[in-house]
Amino acid sequence: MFRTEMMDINMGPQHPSTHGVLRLKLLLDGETVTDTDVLIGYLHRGVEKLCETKTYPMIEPYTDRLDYVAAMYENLGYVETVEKLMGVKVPERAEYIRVITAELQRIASHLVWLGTHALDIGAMTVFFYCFREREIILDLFEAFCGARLTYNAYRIGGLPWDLPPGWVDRVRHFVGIFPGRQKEYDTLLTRNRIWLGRTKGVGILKAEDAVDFGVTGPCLRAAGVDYDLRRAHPYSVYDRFQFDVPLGENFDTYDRYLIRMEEMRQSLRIIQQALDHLPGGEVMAKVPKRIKPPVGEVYHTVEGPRGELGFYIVSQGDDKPYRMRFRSPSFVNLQALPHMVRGSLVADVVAVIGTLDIVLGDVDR
Amino acid sequence: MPPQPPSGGSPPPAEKPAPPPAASRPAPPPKVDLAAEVESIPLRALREKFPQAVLEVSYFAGEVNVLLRKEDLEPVCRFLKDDPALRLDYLSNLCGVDYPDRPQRFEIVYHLFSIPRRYRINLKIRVADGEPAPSVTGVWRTANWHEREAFDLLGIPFEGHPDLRRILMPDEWQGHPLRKEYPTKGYDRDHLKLR
Repeated sequence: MFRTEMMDINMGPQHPSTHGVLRLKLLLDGETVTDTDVLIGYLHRGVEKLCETKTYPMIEPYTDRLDYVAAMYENLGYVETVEKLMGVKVPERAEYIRVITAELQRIASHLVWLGTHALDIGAMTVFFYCFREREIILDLFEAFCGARLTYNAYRIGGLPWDLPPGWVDRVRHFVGIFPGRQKEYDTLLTRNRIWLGRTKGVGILKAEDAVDFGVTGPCLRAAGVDYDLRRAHPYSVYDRFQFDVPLGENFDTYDRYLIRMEEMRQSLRIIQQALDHLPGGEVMAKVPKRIKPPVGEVYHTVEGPRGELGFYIVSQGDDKPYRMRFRSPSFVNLQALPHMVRGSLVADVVAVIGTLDIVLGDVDR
Repeated sequence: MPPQPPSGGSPPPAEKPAPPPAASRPAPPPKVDLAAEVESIPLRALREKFPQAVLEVSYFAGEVNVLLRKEDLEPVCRFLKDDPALRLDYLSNLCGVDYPDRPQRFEIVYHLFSIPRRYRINLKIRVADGEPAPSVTGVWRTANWHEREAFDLLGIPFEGHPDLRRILMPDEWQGHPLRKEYPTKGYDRDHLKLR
């Protein structure tokens, strides 16, 4: 008589579609995934422990190395948390420049996601198109802070320097050309039959499960939950800008694609408004040379491209944090993966990893 | 020139350098009292429903930190999550903090948000070394990995956790790196030597 057996398959840690060093242990029934064990930690560097031995300004470069695809947000969340801990008010110009650079970073990060996600599923062209536009943004960042990937761009209390001459015009130029470029991605994917076949109905995550798993960012909004921290708990100067929060209806991979595409358009809107109202003046508040926040603890969250970036600092009145905790969206979102791929095919696992948009440096810290 | 009541014109040379620093260092911005008390609807509801559970309340930078009795944690979390007026349905963060000098050495912090109501509250419990903490995986599934991480890095056992094993460190690792007595460079550097 015939009989079937379950099979354990190891996927990763060296696998091109796991976006780094993610290891999955898939329990397969034929080609159907029945259970998944997610094994992480291959990139664990103990950043939280290291931070306890570093002074507050020394920590900022470490935050760059967590989510290296969107390092501006790690910087932003970290400096805002310390500012909240110290009760520092940042000059308006610095706030606006932070918003502009952060939203540019969101576009750059979504471009990396789109390029690699499409590449995983088999659409190679999109990757080159996306990296062409990302290059423009990286050039802007290089002109702004001297680095292309790990920026260390902000300081506690403001910015280390003002914008370089001509920078605003270069951003305006980018804002002008990007919508046309985005149409090119649209024509390549949005109504592409293969793309639809690989993403429609794949990796469904419903609202109640998404909230229960703590999933945030585009994945949560694709589940139809209207929760964007820029609007729900506005930080910096986000309460002054007009933008829409796109929501999904089918909770699948295709919806998450549409939502990230729309978020790029909304980011452009925010950048446009911030450029139009960019105030003059100082970019650095008066903060002491030696930063020693008072005794206390804060938990501050910002809306990164992948979801909610949380920073928890316990201060004992010292110049080093007593406890530093990074709540990374990739770590929490990845937890929903076994739920999302249960009952689907192995090829869909690749699509779901792509749609979750994880960065392993952020997962493992 | 602003009027200077104390001494008219005799010490201008000595006084001249003094004003510029005063001008470049304009009155330190109005001191905000970071520890000021704030109104919190979830806290009021919590005090009404579980008067015995709340041990201590502290405020910092507009956040409310509530220290709870360990036994009451799970019912309190369930109430906060399910109560239709509060709906604190989203556990944003869960982590442990190590205070080796205290008799109850670990503090576990829960950062809760409400997506529909926009409330937030931070809960805390304290446990001694080796003493199990109640798991909230039954309330929020997201607590699963957070609790595994606290177990891995701090060595806090969670009672009722479905799958308590190391998550970031290798399975065979000895010790818990985030404990304060654990040296930053590790106990044993041999694993760094090339074999």
